Parts: sequence; structure tokens; C-alpha cells
Amino acid sequence: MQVSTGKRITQLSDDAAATPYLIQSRSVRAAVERYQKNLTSGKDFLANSESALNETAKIMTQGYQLALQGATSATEQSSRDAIATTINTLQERLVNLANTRGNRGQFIFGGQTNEAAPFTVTSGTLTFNGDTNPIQIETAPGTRMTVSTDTSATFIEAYDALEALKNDLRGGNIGNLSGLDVPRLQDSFETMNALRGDVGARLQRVGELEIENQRRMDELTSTISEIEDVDIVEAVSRMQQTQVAYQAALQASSVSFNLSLMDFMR
Amino acid sequence: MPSPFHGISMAGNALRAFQRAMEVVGNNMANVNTRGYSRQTIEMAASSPTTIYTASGAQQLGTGVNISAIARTRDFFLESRMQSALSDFGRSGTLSESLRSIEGVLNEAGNRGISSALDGFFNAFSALGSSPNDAAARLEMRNAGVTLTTRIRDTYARLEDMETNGTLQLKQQVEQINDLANTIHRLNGQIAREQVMGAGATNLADQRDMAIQDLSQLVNLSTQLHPDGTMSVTVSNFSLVDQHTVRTLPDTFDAASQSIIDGSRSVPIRGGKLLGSLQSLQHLSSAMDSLDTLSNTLRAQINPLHASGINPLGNTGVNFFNDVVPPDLPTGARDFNLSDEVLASSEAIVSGVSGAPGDGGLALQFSELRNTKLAGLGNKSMLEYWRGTVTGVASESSFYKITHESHGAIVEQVQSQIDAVSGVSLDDEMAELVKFQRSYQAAARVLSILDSTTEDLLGMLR
Repeated sequence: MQVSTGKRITQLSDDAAATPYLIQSRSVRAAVERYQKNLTSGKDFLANSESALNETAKIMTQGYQLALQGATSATEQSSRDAIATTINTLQERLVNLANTRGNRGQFIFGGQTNEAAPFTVTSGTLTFNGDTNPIQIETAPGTRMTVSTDTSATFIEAYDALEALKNDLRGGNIGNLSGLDVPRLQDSFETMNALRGDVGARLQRVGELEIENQRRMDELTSTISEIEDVDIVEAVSRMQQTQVAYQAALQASSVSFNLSLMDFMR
Repeated sequence: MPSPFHGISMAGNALRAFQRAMEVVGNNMANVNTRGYSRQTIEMAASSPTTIYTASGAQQLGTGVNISAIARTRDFFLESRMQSALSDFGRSGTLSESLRSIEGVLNEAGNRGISSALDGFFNAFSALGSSPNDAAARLEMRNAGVTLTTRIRDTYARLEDMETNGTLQLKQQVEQINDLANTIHRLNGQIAREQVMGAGATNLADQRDMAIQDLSQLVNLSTQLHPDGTMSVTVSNFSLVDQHTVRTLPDTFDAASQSIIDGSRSVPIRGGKLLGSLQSLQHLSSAMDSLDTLSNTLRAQINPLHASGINPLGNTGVNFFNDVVPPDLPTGARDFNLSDEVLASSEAIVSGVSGAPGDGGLALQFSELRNTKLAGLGNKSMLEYWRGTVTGVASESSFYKITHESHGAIVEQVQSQIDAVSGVSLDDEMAELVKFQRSYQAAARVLSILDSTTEDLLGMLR
């Protein structure tokens, strides 16, 4: 039986002492497996956030460089207008990035209200229609990790900074360009960078948790197998022993059955 | 003064006695394979002497041999040991068998039991809470709910079937007890009649002993042998068979107190298959109670919170599991199912209070229930509670499996002791046969010598 199924325990009473431990180990393994999957979906979410924030940071760098270029008195107004057009494109890209969708089509920067685009532009200002409630994943019993990032203020500020830059470029406000817009863009870039760092740190934490969980799962798997699986070598040798004993008993009885007083009487 | 042919008649008596003795041995050998047969022995005694008068006075002269009895060899102590061993054996056998079936129904050894369904259920909530936007997670949640409720319901139904069968089995056992009681009563009557006529009814007594052995497998009993040869049988405080009457054991019972109910009186059952059956029924009903508690706890823990949120369809007040309106009592495991709304569509499942598409707060809260200790379950989580039930059945099952094996060994041991006393050994019987054959030959020789002396005497008269 054991040899044919490969399982030592086919009914729990086969080893009643191990029973609670076996069921519990299975239960924990199933949960860890689930947490592992949750971590995978959290990782997707965070990775999407990170790449969107990376791109946004690049846009801000570009905006900053263009602002420096526009702030130079040597630049002609026609060039400033051209730069302003480029800034406009940057703004459009920024809005697109702010409305990035995750793997399940959800808007990752929309908070929990994430099925419609959270950021919309109305007459030169960016408005946020999402909420700031967190998206969380369960990573361990009773432990949740927030995978969403509250970016609403940062994106609005970045958009506004670019809007101001664009207007100052068009208006040829050199004083504003160098005095206000350049430092504002720099600040905005730094905020963006800080957010990126935060996301990156969480991403790393997810990776660590994944490794930890994997190790826990391997442990549990080997524990469960130790409890319920048959040591094949041992089981087979036990089967052979029993076979030999059985044959010996048969032989012994076939010899002794023949002995009777009747054989010695005529 | 003995007759002149005293010697001849004495030798004739001896021949007859040895012939009978060989017949008894032959009977033993013929019954070597008869169940319940106890070896018979012939007892011989010197017959009463006659008085002769010689020169020195009156003398006692032997008159040969007489058969004094043909008796069964039995050891009453061993037999009462056998009765209690059989009663234990019957009980542990029934119990071990039925616990093993309960275990089979619970089916927790593989991955198809209620424990793994509960795991799947909580894990599905974890998945839904962690990605509430995923329509697939919601579908998975509904499937996990269907799996859980179906397993609980099916397990309950199978336990109910076992309960019905167990009750039937118990009634059959009571019927068997009553049949055997009637048999014993009938044999009592016959034995008493034979006894009056002066003959020990060995074969009838063998049959009665066998009936009592069969009966002691079914129920605990005590026996008493009366001087008139009848035997009375008592089950706890219920007199089943007495000297002249037999009473029918009723088949109404109370599993909780492990007794048979006889009108207003209860007869506690303390052994045998009947006790095994009563205890099995008790185990079944406690497993069913556990399922009821588990189902109702799931309802009470999940439904109110679930109803407080808004589902993707925009509805609130939707239960996850089917439920009754509060003043009514929850219905337990028998009809445990998802609510009609959730059964109809996975979109009816609530993941958060706000109903925002990304709100998984409630689902995560449900997932965390897996480790919440609940006062209603004796400060255990639902998983622990169910695990406790399963472990209880498994350890009882393994205990009774081992107990049954050792009871079997005891029965075998006592049986072999009984066989040593009462059983027929062909070798012994052969030896007896040879002994009686030689005795017969010797007696025949005596007869022929006496014959020839008588012939000499008669020849002198001629």
C-alpha cells in the first residue's frame, strides 16, 4: 500500500500524532503561496509606478534644461516660443504618465477610485479626480503593505511648474524664468525623485519578502513530505522482510502439519 | 454370594465399558472441526463390590467397572473471561470501523477536505483584497466559496447517511440479541427437561454456550447457572433470560447516555458491538455539530461585514452566505450555501466598504479572519477549530484500531486456552483410543480364559 501510493499517510489515523501538524503545515503553505502571488501582483504595481515616475523625472530634467536655455538672455524670443511648444508636449506626456494603467487596466495613481482616468486637464490646470486611499496587499498573516503611491500633489505641482514655465517663455519673462521657474522645476524634480526612491525601496522589500517566503515554502514542503511520504527504500525492504517471514511461516506449517501420531501407528 | 458366572459377566461389563469409551473417543475425533464442541471424557468407576464369606470372614469382592459419567470438559473461569474479551473485541471493532469511515468522509488526508477548502476560501479573499480590480479574483472568490460550502454540505450529508445506517445497524444488533435470547431460553427449557430425566445434556449445553458467546460479542452480559441446569442472562440491569422466561430488549436508544430505553427505565450498555454502535452514533453527531458550528460561525463572521459594503453592481446589504433573518436561528451545515446574489454573479461580492473599484479593505479583513481567535469556538480560529475536530476523530480512530488489535489478541489467547482444555487433540484421542483398545483386548482375554475354565468345569460334569 505504502509502496504503491508513495504516501505513508492515507488516512490521518495512520499517524494520529502528526495529524494536527500536517494539516497546519499544509494550511500555512497554502497561505504563503497566496502571499507569494500577492507579492507578485504588488511587484507589478510597484514596477509600473517606478517606471512611470522614472519617465516623469526625465521629463522634469528636460524641462529644467529647457528652462535654463530659455532663461539665457542670448536666446531669441522665437526660440523661446519653440521651447514653449516642446514644454507643451512634455506636459502632455506628463499627463499620460500620471494616468498610467497597471496590468489589470487600473489607473495606478488613482487611489481606490481607479477605473476612470484620475488626472484631467481643464484650462491649463491639472485636476485630480481619484482619491488618496491606499491599495494594499497582504504579505503575511495580518500584515499589509501599501503598493500605491499618493502622487496627486506632486503631479499637479509638476504640471503647474511646467505651465508657469511655458507662460513665462511665451511672455519672455526672463526674470521669472531664472528666478522662479528654474528653482521650482528643480524642487519638483526632487520631490519626484524622492517618490521614486520610496517606490524603489518598497520594490526591494517585496523582493526580499519573496525570497523569504520561497524559503519558508521550501521548508514547509519538505516538512510535509517528511510527514506524509514514504521512505521508499525503507518501505520496500520492510515489504521484503514481511514476504520472507510469510514464506518461512508457510514452510514451517507445511512441515509441522504432516506430523501426527497416526503416521507412527499401523 | 456371587454367581458362578460372576467373572464372565464382569469381563462382559468391562468389554462394554471399553467399547463405549472408544465410541466417546470416536465421537471426539468426529467433532474435531465442530465449532463450540467441547471434548467429552468418559469417567469410569469400580462398581459396588459384593460380599463373599471366606474362612476368615466376610470379604469385599470387586464386581468390575461401570461408566459413571460422560462429561464435557469446560473451564468456567476461562469462559467468563472469553465473554468479557469478546464484548471488548466487539465494541472496539465496531467503533474502529465506524471511526475509520468518518475519517474517510472527512477526507482530510489528501487535499480534498474542508481544511483545504477553508484555506482556499481565505486565500481567495487575500487575493481579492490585494487586487480588487481583478475580475478574475472575484470569480476565484466565488469558486472558493462554492467549493467550501459544497464540501461542508456534502460532508454533512454523508455523515447523515452514516447516522441513518448506524441506527439501522444498531436495531439489527438488538434484533440479533433478542434472537439469541430466544435461543438460549429454548435451550434452557430442553436442558432442564433432560436434567429431570437424569441425563446431562452435553450437546445442548454446548449449543447454549455458543449462543452466549455470540451474545457477548453483541452486548455486555452476566450469566448465572441454576441447579436445574438453566442459565439466566442479564444485560446491566435488564434481565434478558431467566429460569423460565425471556424478555425482549427494546430498540429505542439514547446515544448520548449510551443506553437502551425501556419505557421509563434506561439500560446502560457497557460493552459489545451494541456499545460500539452507540458510541459511533455519538461520534457522528459530534462531527455534525462541529460542521453546524463552523457554518454558522462563517455566516456570523462574514455576512454582517459583507452586507455593510457596496459591491461592483452598486448594491449594499448583500450577504455572502445564505442566512436567515435574525430572530430565526441559523440553519447550520445542512443547507449551507452562498447567498442567491453571490451565486448568481461574482460581481455581487463586496471587497470594500466604499465600493470604489480599488477598495480591497473588507476582503483583506476577511482574509485576516483566518487567524482570529473566536470566543464562540473556544478561543480558536475557524481553521484551528476544524483541525481540532479532525484530529480528535483521527486519534480516536487510531486508538481504537490499536485497541481492537490487542482485543483480538486477547480473544485469541483465551480461545487457545479454552482449546487446550476443551478442544479435541487428535494425538491425545489416538492415544486414548489405543489405551482403550488394549484394555478391550485384555478384557477379551480374561473372558476367553474364564470361558475355557468354565468349559473345563462343565467337561468334568459330563
